[in-house]
Amino acid sequence: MTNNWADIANSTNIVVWGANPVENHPACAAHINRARFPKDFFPIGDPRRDKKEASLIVIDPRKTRTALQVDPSRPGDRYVRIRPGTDIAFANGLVRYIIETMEAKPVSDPVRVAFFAYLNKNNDGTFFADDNSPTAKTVPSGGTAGGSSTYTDARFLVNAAGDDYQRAEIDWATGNINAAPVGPNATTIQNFPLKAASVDADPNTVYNRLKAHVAPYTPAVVADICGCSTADIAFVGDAFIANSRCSSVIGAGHPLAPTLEDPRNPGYRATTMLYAMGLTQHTCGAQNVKAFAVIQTLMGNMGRAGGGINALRGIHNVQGSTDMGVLFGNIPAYSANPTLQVDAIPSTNNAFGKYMDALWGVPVSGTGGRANMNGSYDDAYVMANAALQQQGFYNLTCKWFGDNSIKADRTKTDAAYSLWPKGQGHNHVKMFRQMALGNTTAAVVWGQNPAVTEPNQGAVRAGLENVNLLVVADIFETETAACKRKNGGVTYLLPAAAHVEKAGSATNSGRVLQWRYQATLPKGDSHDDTELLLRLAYQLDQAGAFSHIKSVWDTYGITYDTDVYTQLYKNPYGGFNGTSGFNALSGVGDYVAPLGTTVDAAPTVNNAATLTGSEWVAESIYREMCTSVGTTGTIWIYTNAYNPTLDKSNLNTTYTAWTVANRAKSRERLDPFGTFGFHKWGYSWLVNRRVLYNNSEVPGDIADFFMTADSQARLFVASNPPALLNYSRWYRTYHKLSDTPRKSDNTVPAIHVLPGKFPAHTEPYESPRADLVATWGKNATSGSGAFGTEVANQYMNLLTSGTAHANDDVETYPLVLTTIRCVEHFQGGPITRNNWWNVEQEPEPWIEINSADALLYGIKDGDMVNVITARSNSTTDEQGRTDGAAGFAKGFRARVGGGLQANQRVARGVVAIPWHWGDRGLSTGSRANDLTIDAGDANTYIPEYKACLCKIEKL
Amino acid sequence: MATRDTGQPASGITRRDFLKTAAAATAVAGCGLEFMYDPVKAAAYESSPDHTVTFTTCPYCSASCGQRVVKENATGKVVDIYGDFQSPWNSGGLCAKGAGSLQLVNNPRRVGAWTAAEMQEMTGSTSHPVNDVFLSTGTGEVAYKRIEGTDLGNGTSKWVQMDLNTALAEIATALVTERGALSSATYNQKKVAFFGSSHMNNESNYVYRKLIANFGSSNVEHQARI
Repeated sequence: MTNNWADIANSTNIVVWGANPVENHPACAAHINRARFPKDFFPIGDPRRDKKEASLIVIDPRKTRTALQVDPSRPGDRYVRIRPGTDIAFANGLVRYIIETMEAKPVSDPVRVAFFAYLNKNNDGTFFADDNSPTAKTVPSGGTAGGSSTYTDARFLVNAAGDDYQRAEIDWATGNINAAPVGPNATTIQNFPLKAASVDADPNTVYNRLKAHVAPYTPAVVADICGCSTADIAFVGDAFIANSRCSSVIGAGHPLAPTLEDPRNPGYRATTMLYAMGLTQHTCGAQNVKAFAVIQTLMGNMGRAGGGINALRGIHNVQGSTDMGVLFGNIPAYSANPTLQVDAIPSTNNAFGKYMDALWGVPVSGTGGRANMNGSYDDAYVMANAALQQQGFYNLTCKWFGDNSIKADRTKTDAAYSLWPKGQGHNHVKMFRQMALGNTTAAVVWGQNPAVTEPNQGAVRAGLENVNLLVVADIFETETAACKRKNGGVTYLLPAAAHVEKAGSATNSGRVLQWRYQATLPKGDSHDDTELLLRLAYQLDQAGAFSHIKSVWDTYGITYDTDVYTQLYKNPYGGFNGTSGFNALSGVGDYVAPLGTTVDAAPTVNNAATLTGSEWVAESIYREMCTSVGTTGTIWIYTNAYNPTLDKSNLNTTYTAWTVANRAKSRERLDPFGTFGFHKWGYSWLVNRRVLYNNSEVPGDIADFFMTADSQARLFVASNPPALLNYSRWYRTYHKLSDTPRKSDNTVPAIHVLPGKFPAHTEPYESPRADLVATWGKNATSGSGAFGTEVANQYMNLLTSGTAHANDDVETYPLVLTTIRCVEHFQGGPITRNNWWNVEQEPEPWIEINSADALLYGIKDGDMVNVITARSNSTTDEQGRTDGAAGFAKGFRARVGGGLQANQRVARGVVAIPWHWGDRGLSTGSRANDLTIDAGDANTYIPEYKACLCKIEKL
Repeated sequence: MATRDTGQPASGITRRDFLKTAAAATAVAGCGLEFMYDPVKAAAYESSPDHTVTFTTCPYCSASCGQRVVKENATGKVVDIYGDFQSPWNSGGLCAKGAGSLQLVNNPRRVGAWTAAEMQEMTGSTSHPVNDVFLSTGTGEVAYKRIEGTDLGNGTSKWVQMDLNTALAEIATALVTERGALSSATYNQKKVAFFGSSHMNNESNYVYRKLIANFGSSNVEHQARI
């Protein structure tokens, strides 16, 4: 989320698109309702009581329980049904409608004036020049010369090829273009993006190129693609116009902080966009999210209270586990896996310096080999001038492969850096294919259930079956623990603890760290995950797994205590010896006790509490992660979430000082600005900002700006070699999306103007509309093997090798299958299908079908139905069982829609199936993921769970 | 307050309430947080010398609803979990999953959590509802192992209990065997795949990722992509 959960209450228009928070994030519904019904929440006298009641717009193929909150009696509410996988068509239709509507307004119309004033906004200051100065520079912004915009790139000029901005060398003192470039020196900026005097002053502005790009998305075209009405597009477009920066009436004598964008102002307008897996689980998932960014940037809603684009993340700590880099392309805190190995120690190929230079921060080099704008650079081994991510990575290298004494020592730093595994692992789909091929021979599955959750289960189970060693840590015997194994294959199951039996921090979807205290010891033979991992680390050390580390330490004189386990695990993490006595460990730290009965009561804080076992070990690890990266902290986005200095750091001065060093334990529900910031409840990354990119516009929040190379939110995805971006002090690499539409002959469909640079509609991998595939194509990537396939034809390469697919064969497979979730069950199911009340409510999996389809296939409500795709069908019990009842795969119970078409859960041609079921637990049932396709997004490696072709048969 | 149906009450929630409101509230009321904490019962727990109340957050979605966990001091048993009314994220409410999370903690189907005597108290039977091998020994030091094809002779296998340290030592040895020796050129082996997990706290994820890096691998994935 760019904003946070409670901030949704500041919104005046809530667009829920590809999410179903009423079922999947029910607490979110309370925040939504605070915006919709302010008089029900705020007392008389509270200015927020008079806020505009927020409208609710739900865009989804399925009329979800969230969509049922749409109230026909409220004029701003609307449910819009679209076909699965057509989000970009609708989004681009909105952009076209908004631009057309704005340009049609009278020149003096205040909304139009505000809309263009924002897009034309001159740079007012923030710009980081690459001159070794850590402070911001002001670049004059007049004329056609350089200068970055504070907010958007709408005025920037796009080059003729349409793949980058127009760039030139400028003099940063004057902002003038150097007619005769003089090359790197202290007063020039190379490759600086150029911009026009206004968004309409040049046909090549980003604004005008975007306008050209969305021109084909006429209301009629969009309605045809999406299956919605043209009125839907106009309605939603008008809602955006009426609830954005351009329609916000701020200040003008209002008593509430007139110079700020104060969301308590009755004239305040902001639209928030909430999304979840309905948006991301497509072959164009990243482009879908980019489409949201385009709309919110165009409307000026980024960085505003009640605005932003907000991913409703799925699992309680999925934000934290992602922050920790438990992904094949990452190490912690969104740094990429190092790739370049040092050629010698000390390094002559400057591998460490080159890696540090690629991180967010200052230009650095190890040996001076890097040509820089002004010929200077910071030393990669000296952290005084480095920025957060660079400092964090250096500290991480110390803590993971040595100790702090290696800092500034080139030989020892290079030696420790050499121990980083270089390059990426396999993505989650490819992993199981590699197991089946015998290239991966062991699997450790910790707190996850891939034998239900992964797409195209036949291939997943073939992989799990084939490994020599399978280790599962869980609280139940999951489908993965019980899966069929090859003869002689060894499986271990390690009993894990429940959430109340272990301590630690978790990071919520709004990026807020909160502490979870250990209420009681793990039951019976179960253990805290951290204890099991430390024990495994000890045994791995005993088995010689870390001998390569010890060898490097010995060779290059890195000092260590006794052995690798003692140095890297026992000493820093609470003193656990690796075999026994975990629960008896102890140390001193913060403890915040439960207390009385009033909401704002000050908590009872003990800064010298004795922490034992899980609490102490978790605290020790937390301190390593969350201490300031300026000293020894390793996770730059969590920097200062542990800070023994209890001053007002990273708080507005209106707040009182901190009471705890461990900020995740802070429990003061204070909101002095009335903006739902709650800055002293937990600690939010980055540096406790509750609204990212806020440009100092959100009252009480920590100042922020758009942290891109040009300090602006970008509508246009430019592609540049990193070397072109030396002018930026902070970002020198632009994020690029690597996909582009292709037709079956591998050409880019002519209808797309700047695909890949702006989001472009593509059909799902298995599409029911072959006619639209011919016009718009499917998504593809320029690289081969992006999603685990070696197919040369780019049109094909988002499909994993060997996956059976139906192409667009609607004769055989006439229906679109989309997977869904319900409030009673969770993800792969172990932690709800073993709870008897949840099972009593939803005892078996079902399908939702439209009454017209039911009639066509002779299916009545309550009938059992077989669902068949090119991969599998839902009555094939492919899963070997170790014990228990056979034949869990009984198909799905039909829930047939009734009444008006518009009121039915799904439209004609769509089948919705919950994916929570498998063959273990109190409740068993057919797995939706036997059916799904393992084609996916080339940027995110997320499979297309939301749209594939199927047929159904009554059983 | 609550009746003991097939399991424990959750902050005064009866099975009947659970079934009735969970279905209705999400469909109609729209609050989504139909299980509000009971302030009378909460105050009783929080002033009780026989109970200890601690904070946590819900183990399901990322809305991070605050939960208060009640431990009975005499037994160490968690006897109630209810919404934390001070949390700005849920103000005391919980959904159908969160309100039922006590069943997750005190679930008889958990592996290795309950002795036969505890099982008798919970379910009226000394048998484990899934497999008696998963009954706790009371030693606190158990893992489970099965070798396909070696036990029952019918193509399936069964779990056996073993000492935890012995199991971890076997796992470690096997992982090193599968990985093979490392040289700097092979510091990223893909012979072992690691999975998980968003169900762990940050600190466990941090140690897990460190362990994988120390093991010489970046071959790791988890739920973030699904």
